[in-house]
Amino acid sequence: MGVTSNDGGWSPYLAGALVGILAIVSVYATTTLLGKSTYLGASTTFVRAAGMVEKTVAPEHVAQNTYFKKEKVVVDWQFMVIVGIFLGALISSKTDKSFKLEAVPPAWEERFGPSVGKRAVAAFLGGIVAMIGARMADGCPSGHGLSGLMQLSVSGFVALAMFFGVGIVVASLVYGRRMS
Amino acid sequence: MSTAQLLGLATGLAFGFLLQKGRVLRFDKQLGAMLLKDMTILKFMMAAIMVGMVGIMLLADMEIIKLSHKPMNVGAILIGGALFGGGWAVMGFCPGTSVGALGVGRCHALFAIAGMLVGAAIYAELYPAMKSTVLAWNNLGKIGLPEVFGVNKWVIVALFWGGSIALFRWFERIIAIGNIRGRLQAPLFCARRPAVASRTGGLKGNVPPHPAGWPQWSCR
Repeated sequence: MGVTSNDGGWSPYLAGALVGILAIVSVYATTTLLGKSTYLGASTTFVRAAGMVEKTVAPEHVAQNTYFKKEKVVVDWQFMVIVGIFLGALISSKTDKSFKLEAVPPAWEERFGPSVGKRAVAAFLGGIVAMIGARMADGCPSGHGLSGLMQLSVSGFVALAMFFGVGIVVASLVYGRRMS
Repeated sequence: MSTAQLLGLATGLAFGFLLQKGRVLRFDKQLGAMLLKDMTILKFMMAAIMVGMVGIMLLADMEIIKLSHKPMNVGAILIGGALFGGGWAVMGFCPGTSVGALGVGRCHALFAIAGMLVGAAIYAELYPAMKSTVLAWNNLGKIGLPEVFGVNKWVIVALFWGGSIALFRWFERIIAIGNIRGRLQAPLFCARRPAVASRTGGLKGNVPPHPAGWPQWSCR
């Protein structure tokens, strides 16, 4: 098992194992420092961020919405994790020189051409559907997938199976045509 | 900044760094996983879960931390999970990796992030209706596998480790076979090709190039 992959990154086994250690340290740190065991996740932050944006145009509406009340529109621990992911990835890619401005992903271009508009519409619509689903299921591949499976949660296993199961079917319908 | 915010920022910095080093922030990797062409994401996630579950189970056993299962709300997880899977495949990012992808310069992640913000806002409006329908159908509560199957948690941890290692070995074999015979169309599961080929087949220095089809896209 090599330590680096052939593109200068780390072996996914190594990087993944380190994320496992990070997850353990993170639960321990939140328990001792913040008084509550908190697990890694990402999608709730999108609710809070959406609430913050909506607040600028319709503050009363956000204040009355039951879901925003439940999830609380504040910059909390998880919100800063997401900010940190952006910065950590930026720093890491700048230091190993893999940072690259990219308008359309290579695999997308391969299948649908270089049009930024097409990619934008698909990513936007996909994003809407995915987030409605993630909020309904109460988690994403981080919250359900990583944190859920680490705790042996039934919900985590079922949710991850649905994510990948349906993802595989839809991906082969959308992108798979030229492979057959 | 509060302690919670500072701690979150530090955790996120490390998480983003590792996501980038593992190369899992890329659209091509995410899509590659769903097309079963590049198992980087799966290797990464399973390795993280294997290590994480041991530490978390130990700390929970010692009552240093508390487990926090998400409720097994059958309708919500099945329907929500399916919607997420479909959207994920089209978008090519999940919520956490979208921001990381933006950090490494993949500007198109902005459209995905904008879509997810709109999706979150829509769900906030739908929530009262969801609460009385999908979310109310069949909630089995916050349950873990050990309770459900009535076995010790370490049995499940051991099974997960065994299954994952078997899967990893199989992934690495497929790389070798794919490269030796050139039968597979794409650069399937392609990290560290030569090393694996030489280990299993003594083909060092004689690894045939991948066939055309989906040229190199999941390799870079």
